[in-house]
Amino acid sequence: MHRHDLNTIAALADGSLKDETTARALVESCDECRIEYESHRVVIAALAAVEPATMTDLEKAALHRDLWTDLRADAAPAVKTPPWWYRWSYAAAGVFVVVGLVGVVSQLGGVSTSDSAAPAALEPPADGTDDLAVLEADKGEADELGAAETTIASAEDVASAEDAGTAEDAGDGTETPSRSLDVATFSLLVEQARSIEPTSSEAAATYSSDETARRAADCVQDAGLSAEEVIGEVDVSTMYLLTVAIGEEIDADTVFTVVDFETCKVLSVEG
Amino acid sequence: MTSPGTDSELIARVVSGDRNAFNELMRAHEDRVFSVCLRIMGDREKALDAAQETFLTLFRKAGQFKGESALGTWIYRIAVNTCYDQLRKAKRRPSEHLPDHVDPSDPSAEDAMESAALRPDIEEALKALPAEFRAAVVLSDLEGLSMPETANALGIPVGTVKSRVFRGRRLLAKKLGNQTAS
Repeated sequence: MHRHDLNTIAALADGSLKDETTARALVESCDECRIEYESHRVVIAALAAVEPATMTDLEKAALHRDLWTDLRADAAPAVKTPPWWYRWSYAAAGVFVVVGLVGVVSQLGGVSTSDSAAPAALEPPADGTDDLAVLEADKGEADELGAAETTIASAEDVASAEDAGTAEDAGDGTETPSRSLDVATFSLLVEQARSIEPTSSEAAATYSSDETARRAADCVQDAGLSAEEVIGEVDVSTMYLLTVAIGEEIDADTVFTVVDFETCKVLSVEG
Repeated sequence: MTSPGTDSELIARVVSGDRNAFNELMRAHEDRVFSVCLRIMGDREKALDAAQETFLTLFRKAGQFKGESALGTWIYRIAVNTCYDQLRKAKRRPSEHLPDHVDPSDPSAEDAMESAALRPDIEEALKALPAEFRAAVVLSDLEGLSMPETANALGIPVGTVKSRVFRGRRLLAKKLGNQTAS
């Protein structure tokens, strides 16, 4: 039996031949061909009897949930951890400023020490203005030293804030600017919220701990959304809180608000 | 399966970031993707993992779809390649085989298991096939793809598909024959 015959027999068995005349003649005239044909038919029939595989409802729900979780992770802004030398460079810069200031102060101190050899310089000025100048200078030095220390603290805060996934709040006490959220991430959050059962915000939020629940509630209050409540799963890795009006039915018309879980500010959606 | 026109529209919407379009795409293809994954992986849990990975890849690479083949065929190709990858990984990292998991609290689970399960002899025979033969037989004889469609989905020439299907059927027949004999 030739290879060509085998292909013909296989095609005859699965019904893909346009003209079966030659193939049927082959099978009828050759025992080996007939056995080959029958074995194909048995396998094809056995496979054809198999019903299509379907997923259970729970399996489908799990597939969708897990998939959107992964896609959401994809859409989340990548956190780039700076290299160690980059982080240390902030501290080094701070130390450099401190050392420089200490040097300046030392030099100033040295001048006054050498001046102390002159008795006239030790005498208090009659009008006390130099006292004031010294006090102001001291205050200035203190401010500069304080500023240097703040620089270090800020640098460390920046480094740690970057480690924590944000460099928004460097711990310098300034107002944190509102961030924005891209449409893709927002859509993923909404998609997840819409897949939650029951379709009401009541009891639709789940928290990994009581502490997380408290933090989320406080965050929503801080964001000025006292008439809103959180929806969705919230754990330590959550970056955004999705909120809806209390008791709101979740449907196509539901208005969602996103709060940055780190800064507790309402985010605008851009894109 | 969705129609070609709908397919290209859907994929264009997915590429433009429309998540609803992706959901629609998933719903249209998830059963067939799962079916292929189940037949190739031979295990429900692994098939679900493979199906999830398939759709992740589909989402990430949606922009690479050129429309040269039907979207369904392209998705089959991703599914088969995903299964191959996971089988290779499993081979490198052999682990204890876990029984197929179906949540007993799911009312539809029993029906689905009954309708989806291959006959034990066929299932065992299919599992025993080399992965390349198994994929060819599954797409051609179980999913009903034509030889050119199977070739497209597997990324191999039609002649190679014919050979793999032919040899796969032969091995299956031999295995089924042995099971019947025993």
